[in-house]
Amino acid sequence: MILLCGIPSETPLRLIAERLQAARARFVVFNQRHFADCQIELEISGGAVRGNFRIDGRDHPLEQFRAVYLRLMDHRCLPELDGQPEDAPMRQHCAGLHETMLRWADVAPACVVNRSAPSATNISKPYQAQIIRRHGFLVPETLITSHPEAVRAFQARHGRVVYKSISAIRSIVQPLEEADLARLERIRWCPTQFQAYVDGTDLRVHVAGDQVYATAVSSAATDYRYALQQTGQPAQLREVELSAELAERCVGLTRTLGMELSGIDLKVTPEDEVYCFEVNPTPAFSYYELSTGQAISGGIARRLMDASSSR
Amino acid sequence: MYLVLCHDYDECARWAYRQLLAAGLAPLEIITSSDLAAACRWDHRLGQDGVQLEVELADRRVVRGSEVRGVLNRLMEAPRDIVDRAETADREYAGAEMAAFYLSWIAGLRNPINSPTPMGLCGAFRHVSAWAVLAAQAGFAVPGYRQSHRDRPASGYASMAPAGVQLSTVIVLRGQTYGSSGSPLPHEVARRCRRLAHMSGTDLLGIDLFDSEEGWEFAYATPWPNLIAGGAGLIDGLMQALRGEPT
Repeated sequence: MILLCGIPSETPLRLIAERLQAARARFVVFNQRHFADCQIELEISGGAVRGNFRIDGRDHPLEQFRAVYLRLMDHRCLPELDGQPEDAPMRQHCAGLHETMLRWADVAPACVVNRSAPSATNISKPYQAQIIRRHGFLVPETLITSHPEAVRAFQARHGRVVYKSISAIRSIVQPLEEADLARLERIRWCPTQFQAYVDGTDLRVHVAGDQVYATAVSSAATDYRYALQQTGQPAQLREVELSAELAERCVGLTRTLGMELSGIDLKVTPEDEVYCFEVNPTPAFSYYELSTGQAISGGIARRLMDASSSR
Repeated sequence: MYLVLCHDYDECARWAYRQLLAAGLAPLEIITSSDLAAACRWDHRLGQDGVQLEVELADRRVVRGSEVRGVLNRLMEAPRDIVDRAETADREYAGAEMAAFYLSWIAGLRNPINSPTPMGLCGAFRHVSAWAVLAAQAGFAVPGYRQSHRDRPASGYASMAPAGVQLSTVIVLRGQTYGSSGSPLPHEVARRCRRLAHMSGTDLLGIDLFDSEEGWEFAYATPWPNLIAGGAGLIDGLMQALRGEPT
């Protein structure tokens, strides 16, 4: 049995559910927005993990779930909790339910896409970059500093420089320009990340188990996710095939990080050098799938079905 | 240069610093979270030349990553000072940025004990449910664990020992065991402790055990142990480990 967790109308979850349905796979959906009708009990005894998940009034032994796909939104922001005070019983129930479910997912003898520990490497981009670098990828020249002079010297050396968040909190990658240099003194309060701009073609590589889906992105924007805002033109996406060596390296990196599914951001320079920027543990693969027709959700569904039937 | 990184209130780290200094580990610097929060200049780089760090502290001490040979890392989290100074709306972002920054620069230092992880700056602070499974796999008897939607999320980081039982703390450092309140540790129990530390990927791990009808039962484990419980033996082990010698 496969368990999908999240909000069913959200595109990535919907696409996977459709694939599973088409394949007549046995699966259950935990809809976060129905948390009030759900209960979970977890028990660990002698290292064995058991329990029960009541979803929409129906009981499911936890040990029957052999594959789990997690795509959870922050439960504190669920619309059903709007206006509820911090100590409201409904909020406490929701928090306790999600906490127990995630603790179970971390120790369940199942294929979990993805568990929390591997996903957490993404909370620090330069930390993850150190792992990426050890895996044979180039990483952009990076400076994190509180010293304005160091930034000016870095820019003098590398020319085009961008700045971005260090953490997983999403920020729009911005070019370092004159107006930014005028306010550089502010970084004395908080070290800030600057990177040498890498010229080339953006590639998003999704790895699901041993399946690899590569998408090339053409855009003049510094951050193609915001191409429309930055250039007035949407990014152009197309399917590409990676060399066997590069595809294998992407699969290897995903495994090294302990992930079942990843979205890897690469850039291939005109000199054919491959830079890796980050590995996303909860990729919004549907944007790429719906733009190119690549069957990424099919690969994820296949991984879940294989895990579900292999024990 | 050797470093002890710790919070201001960490008496165990201060004790270890004094003992290591007295034992001749030099040059050795203790750098507290207050020192780091007040640093004048940070410079952390990553790229083709590897990972580099240079930080200038308010007292003019300068730490260069290239000169660091070993680190006793006791920092559980990045200092809150910058976060507390941020505008209310920016605090969550500032906190995430500082946590991400500290995780990276400490990971870039040579020979940290423990290595930082996304689950804790001085090693992974696992939820007790995760310890319950790992400890059982390491061969320990473990009290039964239950959790449900009715429980408060914060309740999963307490000892599993029944109230009132006498706990023994064992410290594992890179394959060697120390502590256990002076009483000799049965060979098999010591082996389980070493196995648990290895399985958890933690160089320095404190393990609380209690005596029961099942034998020595697992109660809790932490990458931030009471170092004093390890005594002089642990200091010798730390000396060797920080120097990069086999323990």
